[in-house]
Amino acid sequence: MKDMPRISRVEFEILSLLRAKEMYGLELVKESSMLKRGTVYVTLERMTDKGYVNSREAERAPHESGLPRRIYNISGLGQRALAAAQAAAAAYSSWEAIAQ
Amino acid sequence: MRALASFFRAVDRGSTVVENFLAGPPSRRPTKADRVARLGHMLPTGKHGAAVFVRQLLIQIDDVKHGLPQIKWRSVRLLLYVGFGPVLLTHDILSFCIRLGRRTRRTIVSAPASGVLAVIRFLVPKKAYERIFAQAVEDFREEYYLELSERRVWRARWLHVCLYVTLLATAALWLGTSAAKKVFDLSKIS
Repeated sequence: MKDMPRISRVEFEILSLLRAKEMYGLELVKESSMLKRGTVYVTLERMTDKGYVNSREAERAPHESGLPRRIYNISGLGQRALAAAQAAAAAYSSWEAIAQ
Repeated sequence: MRALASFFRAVDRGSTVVENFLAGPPSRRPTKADRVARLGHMLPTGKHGAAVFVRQLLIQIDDVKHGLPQIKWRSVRLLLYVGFGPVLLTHDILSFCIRLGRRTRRTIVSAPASGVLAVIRFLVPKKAYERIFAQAVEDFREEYYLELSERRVWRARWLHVCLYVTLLATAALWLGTSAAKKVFDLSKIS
């Protein structure tokens, strides 16, 4: 129980988006109304530390200038955490339906 | 600054003509020497009809520009001032606006938040800079350049302001997260 992955709503949203394809921060913000520009990279960094997502530097053409971009994708642990969170959410909603 | 200077020049030119109206005719009518000094080589010197006509026309225009010396009555001059003053000022304001609109001043400016990014780079660890702050700034720069390329300057300026607000929020969240992480690590050790 101690090692059970726990994810917040924002992390759940990010993992759900990254399950479909790898994206960079701005794409994530544009895809979701929950994510904000000011917080998405801090959350992504925290998730990288936890091992839920991996990141790599985007390849750039020689003529392209600017700061190097990072592309994020979901890791194996992230997929398991997302599956567990979805199962927990489904179980909670079915329990709530029974209670009503 | 240049626009302001040209505006004041336009107002000054308008007020000079108005002052000439109010001042009335000069003490003496302009002589041929005065006109030649003012108009210089513009006056045609020929004796045939076209040259005489153009010479007279230029002299008349020059007389009007330098104070309408033919009008002696103050009431008529005031009437002309009331009629002509607003037209003159409107013309000056319109020409100023047209000049301002057509102005294509090109200057080289640094990318948005270059200075702030340099300070952040100095203050925060390299990993945090590359993965958090640089990414956030690059997102805004991408949109900023897109807006500029589509000539939506005010939208680009607004994004520039938003960038600073976002950087503040990011810095606050990063500081909070880092501090919480340190406290958590310390509590685990103890």
